[in-house]
Amino acid sequence: MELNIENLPNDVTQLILIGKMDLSGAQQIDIRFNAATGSTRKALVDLSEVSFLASMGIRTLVLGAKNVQSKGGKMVFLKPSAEVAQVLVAAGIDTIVPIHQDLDSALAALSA
Amino acid sequence: MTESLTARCTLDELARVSEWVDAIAAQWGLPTQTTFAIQLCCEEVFSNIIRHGHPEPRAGETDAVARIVLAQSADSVSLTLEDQGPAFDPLTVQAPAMPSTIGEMQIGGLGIHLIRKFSQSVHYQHREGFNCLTMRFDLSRSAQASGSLSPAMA
Repeated sequence: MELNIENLPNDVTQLILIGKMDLSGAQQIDIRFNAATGSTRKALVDLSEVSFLASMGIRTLVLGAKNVQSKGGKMVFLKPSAEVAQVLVAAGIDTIVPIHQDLDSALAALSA
Repeated sequence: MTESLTARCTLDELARVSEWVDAIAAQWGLPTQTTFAIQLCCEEVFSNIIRHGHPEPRAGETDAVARIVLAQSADSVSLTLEDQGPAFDPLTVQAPAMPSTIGEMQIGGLGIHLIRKFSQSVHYQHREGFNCLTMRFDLSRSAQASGSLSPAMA
C-alpha cells in the first residue's frame, strides 16, 4: 500500500492511495494519512488506484475525515472503482464524504 | 467443486489467504464483483478471528489455525470459515446506525455489516467446538449491478 501526497493550488492536499486497503494495507499508511489529514482543510482523497477496501481501510478514511472536519475543513473522495464505491455506500460514508468521479467537480466541492 | 485452505490465525497469513481466494476465483472464472465480495467477507471474518478469537500463543504453544472453504454450485459460491476460538455468533452484533455527520461515524463494528451487505445469506453454527460461519454469493446477481448498493455519484 502506498500513499502519495501532493499539494495542489488553492491549498488543496491530494492524498493518492495506491493498493489494497485491507488490514495490513491500512496499517502501512495509517500514520502518514493521519498526519496529512491533520494538517489540511481541503483533502482530496484519490481512490482511483485502490483495488480493495475493507473495514480497517474505512477506519483509516473515517479518522482522516474526522481530522479534517475538526479544523472546519472538507474531505472528498475521487474516482473510486465501482466495487470500492459500493463499500463506501454500504458503510454510509458517501453521504458525509462525497464521491466525485471527476477532478473538476471534486475541486469545486472543496472550494465551495 | 470444493477447495479449502488451512491458515494460521496470524496477521501475516492475510495476504496468503487473499492470494488463495484470487487463485480459486480465477480458476473458477468468477465475475469480478463476486470475487470482490468474497475477498471482502473473507478479510472481515479472518481478521476478526485473528484479532478477537486467538490471543498470541505463549512460549511452546503453536499458532491456532482456521480453515477456509470455498464451494461452487451451479448458481452460487459459498465461503465458510471455521475456527476454534471462543464461541461467537457475529450475527448477534447489531448493525451500526448509518451516520448523518462525520462526528457520528463509528470507528469499527462495520465488518459484520459489510458481510451482510455483500453476501446473499450468512449462517452461523457452533459445531463440535468450531465456530462455522458460511456466506453465500449468488452468481446470477453479479451479472447485474446490485440495486440497493448503487453508489450515488456526485
